[in-house]
Amino acid sequence: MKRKTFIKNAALAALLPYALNALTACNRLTSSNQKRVLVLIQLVGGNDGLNTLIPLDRYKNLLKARPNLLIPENKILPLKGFSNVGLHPGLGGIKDLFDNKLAGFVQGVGYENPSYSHFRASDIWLTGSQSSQVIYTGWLARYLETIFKGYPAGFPSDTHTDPPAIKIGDTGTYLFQGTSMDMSVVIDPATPFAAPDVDTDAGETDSFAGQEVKSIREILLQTNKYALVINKALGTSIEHSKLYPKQGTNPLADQLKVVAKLIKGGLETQVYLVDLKGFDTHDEQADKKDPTKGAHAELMAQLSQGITCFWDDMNRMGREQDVMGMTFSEFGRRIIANAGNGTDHGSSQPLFYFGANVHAGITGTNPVINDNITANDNLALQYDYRAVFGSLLRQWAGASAAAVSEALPGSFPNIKLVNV
Amino acid sequence: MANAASYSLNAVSGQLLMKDLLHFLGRTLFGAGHKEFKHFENKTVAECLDILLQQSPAAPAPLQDDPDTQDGLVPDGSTWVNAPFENEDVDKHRRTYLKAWWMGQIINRDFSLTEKMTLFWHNHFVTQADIVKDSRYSYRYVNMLRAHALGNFKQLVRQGTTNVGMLVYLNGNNNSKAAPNENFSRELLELFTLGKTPDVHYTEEDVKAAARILSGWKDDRENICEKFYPELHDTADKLFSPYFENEIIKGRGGADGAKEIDALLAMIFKRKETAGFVCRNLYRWFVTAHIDEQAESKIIQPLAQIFIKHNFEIAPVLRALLGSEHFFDATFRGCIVKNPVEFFVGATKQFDIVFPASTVETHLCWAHYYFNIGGLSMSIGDPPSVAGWLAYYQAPKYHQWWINSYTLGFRMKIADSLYLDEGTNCNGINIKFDYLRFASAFEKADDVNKLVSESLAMLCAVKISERAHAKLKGILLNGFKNEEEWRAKWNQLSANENDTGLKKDMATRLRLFFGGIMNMPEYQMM
Repeated sequence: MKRKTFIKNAALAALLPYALNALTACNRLTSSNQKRVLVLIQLVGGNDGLNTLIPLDRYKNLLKARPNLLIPENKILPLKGFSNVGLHPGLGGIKDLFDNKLAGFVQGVGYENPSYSHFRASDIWLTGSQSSQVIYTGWLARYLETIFKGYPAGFPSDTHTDPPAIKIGDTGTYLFQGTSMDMSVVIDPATPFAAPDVDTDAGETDSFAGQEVKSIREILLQTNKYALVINKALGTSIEHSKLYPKQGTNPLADQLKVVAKLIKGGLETQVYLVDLKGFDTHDEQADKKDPTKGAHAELMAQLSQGITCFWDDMNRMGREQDVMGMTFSEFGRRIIANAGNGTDHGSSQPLFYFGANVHAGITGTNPVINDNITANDNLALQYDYRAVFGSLLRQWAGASAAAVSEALPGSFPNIKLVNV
Repeated sequence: MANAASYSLNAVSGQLLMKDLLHFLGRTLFGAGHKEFKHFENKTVAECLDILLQQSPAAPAPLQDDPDTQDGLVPDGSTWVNAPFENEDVDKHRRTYLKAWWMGQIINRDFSLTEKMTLFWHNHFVTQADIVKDSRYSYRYVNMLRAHALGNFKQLVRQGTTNVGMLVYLNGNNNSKAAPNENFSRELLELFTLGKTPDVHYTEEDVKAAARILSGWKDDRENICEKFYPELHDTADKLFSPYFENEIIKGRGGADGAKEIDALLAMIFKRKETAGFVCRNLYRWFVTAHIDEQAESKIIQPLAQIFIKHNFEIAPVLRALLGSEHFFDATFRGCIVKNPVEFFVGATKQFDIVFPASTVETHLCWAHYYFNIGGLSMSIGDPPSVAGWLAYYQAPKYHQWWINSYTLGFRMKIADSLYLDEGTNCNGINIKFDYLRFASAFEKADDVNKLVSESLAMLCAVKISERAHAKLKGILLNGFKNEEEWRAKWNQLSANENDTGLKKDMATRLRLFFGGIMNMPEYQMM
């Protein structure tokens, strides 16, 4: 039996604080004989957290700030055990997960001096930097490099046969950018995975061009090395959940379906990134006559549906114990609506996570919204995003304190996200 | 690096050698083959630049040509660019046509930089047609980019600020006194003019003040143009930060409110950072993504001075950069990863692939290019975000973002399709790379060594290994006793082109040979 990387890390963590969770995780992993998987879902464009997880105790002031945008009180989905907060009506599937103690939220996640630029803000979230700091590797890649030491040299190996990370889509991501190369294999749901042959001999090597070609050649060679396991996993016949919508109607569901297939197909990759685009809702975020409809409502429905089908798949496969998902966006949106019945770039946002072993419920408090909101007002910061991701690494992946600080340098509190 | 590179904008004199042309044309024309090499050979750099800097004539407008679409307002064979907006479904069809048509303009490029620069401005002044959702607006947007491609940047910024496509894309049309929308004003400063380098210190308050200046503009769907509504305009004075020297832009009432834009742009252009920002982007587009201190001080800043001196005319900057010792320095040859257009259209231009004569059939081919290039993560008309494609701003990987396990496989499949025996199937229309014609255009195609080295010199900007070189030659000589047999067979075919058996055999060798070149990682570079 192959040694499980996360177990190995958990064993190291046992010497350090936070060991309790990690140790239990270790036992569970041993008994189920499966590697834990983390699926991150990037909501591209900046999600409106105030219309996702709606603070009911601030409803009156919120309605004043966004009269044609806020979901009518009687349409907000209640959450079991939490009377002062509710969900966007498009998030029925997520409500079910939450009510069944399979999901949680962390309120007010962001960082000091938030950037309101999409690109800078995305980079910050993906590279794990401070607001003013530029880093050229991804935080998750830095964690992976503590396991896949010296990647790509020596990988795949006998103990690590599969890609360190998978990115679904047609472009790579900063999240998986390692010191010397992209640590992910990129798989497009619309196209079969192809691995072309390549001549290993390089011509020029010491020129700029030669360096660039070397990177391309490396990707080709690395892809070829992983092609067999990926195509084997993709080729596994699998009866997916019946809940999936028709291909091409929900891009997130399409992507998560590929993830489900790879997991079912036996790929031992432990981190995946998928995304849902279109959250930059400056304009007509909601239908003026019916705020439960419109662009943001469609996105909420796609998010909920995508996660619901994927979760159903995990249950059918018996993988619900060792798969966990989490959403994030580059920022939240402004409290006040603009003239186009949309919202401009904001600061903090609620993060959502799900899985059978998660610490269900809500961490943090409802944002404070006074009765005189202007375009300058933003939601207060409650938790640094690096605290959330660091806690995820510790508790879900059983990462050692050393590995966590490789990934996310700095000192951040531990937030309970995982039960066992 | 091997040699110290020249960091000088001094103009290169004299004529360009074959390898210089490979670099020069490869970077400016989306690939170049025999036709382009012939056109530019025996000319001085200055003469070559005269040709490149000539604006291409406007292209005929896109048409309604699909009988299956219920575009009730526009008959087949006519254009819809001035027709009323019919409905979302029809517009979706028009939109796809427009993007394929744009692809066609790139494929049909003449010897001018116009198309290359139109794409540059598309990446700089992004709108996404699928978000604008009105193909007539997107058509006007593309035309604006093309008309100013080699023109004046200030005018382009002014036009772009109230372009109908842009008003919709960045919500300028919903920016009013009552509720300012800062989406456009933020990008105007961050992406279109000043940039966000450490020397740029405008504030959040500046973004808001600029938004107020731009309030009151809307798109007029009926007349397909922009329109200023004084009653929606914020007429109060707008105060800017110390970065803009605490300038106050006086609020204006009535129709005069529209003129505040000019005051805003004049204030922005007073700062010198815009020139540096645009020149840096041009440098990444044409020379290399990586800008070191020397390039910044000896190339970018002098270019910025030229830009300012010529009142933001684009051509003088391009002339200085593309004719410079720095541009032609050996250090920078072959160091840019081709973007998907440069890769696919590039191969098409190199091999001079001929398209069908009929408009309808040609359009089907263009659509094939548009979709496949989109599959390689470069959808013409719809960059992934307002910042454009990652390859042009995301340090330090820059154009390596084009390349990943997925796109590399896809690129090689496209290359394979180009050297299929039966040709490339473009939505039912076959286009074909004529290997024999291409090889025959070399002066000494009967000399297999010359054919290999000259083909590589025309097609591949990066030197390949000796083993790969030998392998390619081996493809041509497969089963032949020696190089002489190639010569004999080639001459035999030249003497009798009706020898179909021999013709097939030689074409197969060439097909696999050129395919072999296209499948080398080195071929991804330019």
